This record gives sequence, C-alpha cells and structure tokens, in this order.
Amino acid sequence: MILILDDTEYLRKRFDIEFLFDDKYKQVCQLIDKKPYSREIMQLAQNLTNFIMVCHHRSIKILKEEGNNSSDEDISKMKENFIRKIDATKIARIEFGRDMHTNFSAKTIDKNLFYANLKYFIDFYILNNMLELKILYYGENYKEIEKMTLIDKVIDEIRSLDISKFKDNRLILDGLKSLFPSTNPFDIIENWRKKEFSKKEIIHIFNENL
Amino acid sequence: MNKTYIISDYTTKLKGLISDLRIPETNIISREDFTDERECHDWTAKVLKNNDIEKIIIPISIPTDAPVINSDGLLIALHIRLNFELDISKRLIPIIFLSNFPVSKIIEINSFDADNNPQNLIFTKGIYFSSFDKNDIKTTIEGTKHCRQEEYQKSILNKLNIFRKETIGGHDIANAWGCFKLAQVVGVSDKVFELDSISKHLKQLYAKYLICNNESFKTEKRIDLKPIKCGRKKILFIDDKSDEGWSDLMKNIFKGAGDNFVFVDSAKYKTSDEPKLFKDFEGFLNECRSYIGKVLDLIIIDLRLNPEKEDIDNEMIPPTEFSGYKLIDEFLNENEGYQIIVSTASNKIWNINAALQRGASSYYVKESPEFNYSISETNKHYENFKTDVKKCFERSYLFEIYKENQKLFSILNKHSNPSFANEIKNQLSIAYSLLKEAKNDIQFAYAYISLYLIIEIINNEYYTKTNDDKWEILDVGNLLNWEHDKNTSTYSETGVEFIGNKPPEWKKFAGLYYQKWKMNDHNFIRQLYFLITKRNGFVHGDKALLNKRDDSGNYLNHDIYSNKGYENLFNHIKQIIRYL
Repeated sequence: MILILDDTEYLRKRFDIEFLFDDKYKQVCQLIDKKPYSREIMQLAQNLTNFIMVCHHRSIKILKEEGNNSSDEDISKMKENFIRKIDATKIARIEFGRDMHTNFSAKTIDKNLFYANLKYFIDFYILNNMLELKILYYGENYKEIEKMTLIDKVIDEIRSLDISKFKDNRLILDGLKSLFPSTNPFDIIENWRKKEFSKKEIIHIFNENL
Repeated sequence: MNKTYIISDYTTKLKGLISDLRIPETNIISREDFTDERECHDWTAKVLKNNDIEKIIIPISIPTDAPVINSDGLLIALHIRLNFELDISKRLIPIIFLSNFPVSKIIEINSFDADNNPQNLIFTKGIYFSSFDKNDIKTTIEGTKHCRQEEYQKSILNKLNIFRKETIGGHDIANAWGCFKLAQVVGVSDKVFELDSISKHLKQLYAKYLICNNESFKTEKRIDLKPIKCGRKKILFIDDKSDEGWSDLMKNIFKGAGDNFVFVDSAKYKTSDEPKLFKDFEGFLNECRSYIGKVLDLIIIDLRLNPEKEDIDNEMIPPTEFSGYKLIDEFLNENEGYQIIVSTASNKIWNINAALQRGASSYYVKESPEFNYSISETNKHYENFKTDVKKCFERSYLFEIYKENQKLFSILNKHSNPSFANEIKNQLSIAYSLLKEAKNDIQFAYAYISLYLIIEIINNEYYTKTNDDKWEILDVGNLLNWEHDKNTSTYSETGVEFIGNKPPEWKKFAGLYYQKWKMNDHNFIRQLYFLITKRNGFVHGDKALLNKRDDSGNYLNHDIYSNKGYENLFNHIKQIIRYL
C-alpha cells in the first residue's frame, strides 16, 4: 500500500484527488486527510510493513487525544520518530509541501506537482506493481524526458567531437541505440560518414527521430 | 556583443560557448538556485538593475548538466518579463533561449507548470531561439529587436496565462494586494512593500502577472493630505492578517490615535514556519473577546478570521458561520452601540449584508487583484472608508447610551410593578433603536419623540382623573397648579388644585416631582419644560417654536434634529427613572 498523510483543510476541494476514493485506488493507496492522533501514528508506525511507500505533508500536525498526558514537545518528537522509523525500514518516503523545492535526490516535491502527477504514478503502480518515482517528478512523459535528456547530451558530444571519434563515444552510441534500437549504431555512423553529413544535419536527424 | 549577457552555470558546455562567442567576463551572470518564486523575482530584479543589459541569453534547460532536462530557463524569463520593480524597457529586453531541440519538441515532450504555463512565453514578442552552435547564436543575436513598450500589453501580457496556485489561497494574495494598494493612497506603500508578508505574495508569478496588467500598481504614489482625525479615539483592529501588513497599515491610518489604536496580534497565535497558520485560533478569539465591554469608539473586524476553514472557493458557508461575524455578534450583544466597520476580502454582497443587518455600521472591501482597480478608484475607496470612520466616531455616543439603558433596565427590573417597568423598558428600547437607525434630522426627531413618551407613560401610571376634573396623584392627593415665576426662576403652586380636561405633561410631571418625590431642583423642571415644548413644537408643526433663536442668533430647538437633543432628554429620563 501507498500511504498519503495530508492534513490540509478541504484537500478534496483544492486538488483533483477524487479518484483516490474509488475502490480500485483504495486497494493500493490509503489517504489520511485529517490531522492524525498520536495513537493513529503509533499504530501506523507498528504496521509500516504494510506500506511500500509513505508520502507526507511537510507540516503535518499530530493531535493529542483526550486523556493523553504527553507534553507538546513529546507529540512533535513523535513525528520525527515516525519519519526516522520509515527511513530505517527503507520504505520509500516523499515529503511534499506548499512551494517546497522539488528535488528528486532529496525526495522533496512541490505539493502542486505531487498531486498533479499522483494519478499517473498510482496507475503505473497498479499496472506494473512497481514504484516509479520519476513519474511523480517528471510526469507520465518521464521516459520521453529521460530520452530527451540523453539526446541533449548526445548532441553536445556531436558538436564537440569530430565524426571520426563518434564510434568510440559511449554516449553517442547509447543515443543511437535509444532512437534506432533495431539498427547497429556503427552502421548509422558509417552511413553518415559516407554521405559526409554535417553536424547540423546529424543533429537534425536526432531531433526528427526523438 | 558588449551589452549581451548570458546566464551561465559554468559547465564545460557553456564555458566553451562563452569563449567562442567572446562574451566578456563582466557579461556573465552566475546562475543561482532558487527555493521559491520570490527568490527568482529578487534575483532577476537585482541582475537587471545592476547591469546595463541589452540582450540576454538563457539556456532553456538549466543547469545545463541537470540529471533531467527541464524548462527552468523559461521561468527565469517569465520573471524578467513580469518584474514590476523594473522599468518596462528593462523587462522587454530580447531574450535568446538556447536549446538543442526545436520549439516543437520542447513543447511536445516537456510537462510544464500548469499554473504558470511558461511555455506561452515562447509565443510572445522579443523571444528568440538558437541552438548551442556559436554561429547560430551570433546570427540570432544580430537579428533580435527590442519589443516596443506599447506592445507590452498586447504582444506579451495578453498571451500569457498564469493562474493562482491551489496551494496559495486567494485570501493570501488578495490580502497582500489589498494591503499594498491601500498603502499606496495612504502614502506608505514603500514601507509596506518592505514587509516580507506582503512582498512574498506579490512576487509570485500570478500576482506579478496581475500587477503588470495594472501598471499603476507600483509606479503611482499618493500622499494622504487629509488623514483621519482621531486624537483620543479608542480604536480596535481585529484581523487574522494583522501580522501580514494590515496592523502596520492601520497604525499609519490611525496614527492620530497614538496608543489608543490597538490590535490583536495574530502572529502570537500562528506557527512560525510557513505557511503561517493558526496553531491556537481559540486563543486568538479569546484575546479579541477580552475587549468586549470596553469603551471603544471604533472596531474594525475582518469578517473571516480563520481563512483555512472559511475561505474555500465556491464553498457556500453561511455568513453567520464566519468567525468574524460571530465576534461582531458577541460585541453587539454586549453593547448595540459599538461602531463596527467590517472589513472583508470577499466581494460577495450577501456576506456583507448579513453583517450590516446584524448591526455593523459599515464595511470596507479589501481590494482583490481580480478587479484590478486604478489608483484613482483605490483612492475613492479610501475616501469612503474615511467618511465611514468619521461617521462612526460621530455616533460613538450610542455606546454610552446603550450602557446607560442597561443600567436603567437593572433598576426597572426591581420595580414592584413589572408591567409598568416593562412598558418603560420597551419604550427605551424602541427609542434607542430609532436613534441607532437615524440618518437624517427627521429620524433623529422621531427618536426624540419616542423617548419623550416615557414621560407620558410615567404620568399615566400615577394619575387618575376624578369626577370633578381634578387629577389625583396616586397615594398623594390632587395635582396642584404649578406655575413658573420668572422673577425667581422657581416653580410654585398657587395653593389651588388643577382643574381641567388635560393638564400639560410638564405640569403633571411637576406634580410628581414636587408633591410625590419631594424634590426641589427648579432648574430640572425648567429644563424638562423646554424639552417637552420642543417635542410639542415638532409634533404640532410649530415652525415658529422650532426655529426660535437666542440673542446670538443660534437655534434653541434644532438639537431635536440631532443626537444632541436625544442625549439632553435622555439625561433627564435617566434621572426620572431613578426617582420611580
């Protein structure tokens, strides 16, 4: 299960998340859209093995139930401990927040972006039984964006190298494989050399086939 | 090339390019990391103010060696185009984007921020594209043209599509906008703009977009030549955004009141981290409530004090459920004479009407960016606000009168004849409500004559007419014929009982005063005589009496047309009720 903890008021009105209440998505994703009580957090902490991923709001607040004599400081430490426990179990964790800096390595993401890409992310998970965090960060087109990133680097290499050096360049070869998977990259390079293509023409070919 | 600048991240790719293009070191702008839109705004403002840039080169994907390609260069360009802190000429410098891909591929494959839609910038004037090839870049630079200032609106602003982010409440931006716009006409806009709580919202792309569409936003400034006169007036300001510019602004508006201007500091009850939401809203309300019952000449209350719960787009929350409304209700339940101006960022008239119907005196609508008022219109709103404040100050007597009414009710509640006491209480309430609603001279007169009826109620309670046309005072005897002696300025009875169909009300009262209560302040009766005569003059249309003047030419009886007349009569009524 994917767990989402977000205590933002009127979450359903602010973001397009109605799909999370369909049975199909409820089976794979649990949304807690209110401030959790300390007891709930304790239970979640004990049952973390039920979850494959936890996504939580940066400023989630834990409430103290009636009869609970813990100090406010203890309650706020509870949140830190909960996060620490998630990290210790090596469950994937994403922190999102209003205007938060989106950083794939740091696993932080702007809240708008998180909810904009959430459905694609969960759909992929349902279909492939696999978490692909890149979808949350780059959208459902993440593969095209990755390809574009590769080709961008390839084009830089093409500009800086002589065509005679292309066949020795890993990046150029990888780029050709990604665009022309059924053709031998060396043959492609040889073809260019024979036809005396300029760098501009070669770059154009890459763009045309992206 | 000497005024062409480039944003560089010092990667090998760009270093090589800079060297090939022979861009001088002084023309290289180091790229920075931004954590939010405000930082990007400030950075672009600094860069363009500090450098004499004619053209600027920006890689679309930045940093150029990012693990995943992006379109952040477009966001930087958007911040340049919408930076209202820059002259328009600086905003319109030609921007040359660098990319290995054609525009069609950039748009096809990238997913763009759905609120800012930076990709729209590509289709505006003054934007150029080039590959990283140095010859391409040189050719492109040579072909660029400055967009003319007259084309800014049509060729750039009208082609952009920037929306408010869901995570930033309309309330937040409206607050910052409304505060700044008002500050402009008050003459403190520079000071207010320095406040982090204001500028951080105004530097978001959505706000910038609106600001650039309202060119007078930053450029025009005014000075308030007629500030509100409020020396010794006690003013209370309640707003959940008091910590976000409004208390500073209101303090300036009411600076004449000095320490008598007080506000409830919402910052004490909010989290210190962004977003600054209430952590103890009940505590905030309790502090607001601590002022209930205190003498105040004016209260300004925001209608929605808890926007997180009360400010949801399209959510039809009844206005009576707003925390500000409830607070207004609590203040007025304590004293209907409180003068309250309700302030609101909502333009929904039914919300405002609810507050007015409850008893708020007036309202002030905080400007919202969607309406995009010119500075002249903002000034009109401010002038209206000042007029309303002045009216509230002029009506602060209502507070004292209401308080006195409550004291009188306590006295009457102890009276042995509840029916008689209730009749007086009801009449006091009727007269008060007429006074509260009075807006013109006739209405003030109606309130006056309504209050006067209490004298008749009292007289009727104690008098019975005998068979021989005499008037018996309960438990005392017959009314004597009291007359005024001009020489001694006293009242005396002639030893004769009054016989007649209907003694004048002042005479009946004199009977009670002297014969039943054994009082002897002749001036009291003399004043009451004049007060009753004034009433008679109005009721019977006696213009000669109403327009009577003293030796200096001042009208003697025109106070019946204002609160002064009511207050004079009320002072007597208060005393009379204590005699009962």
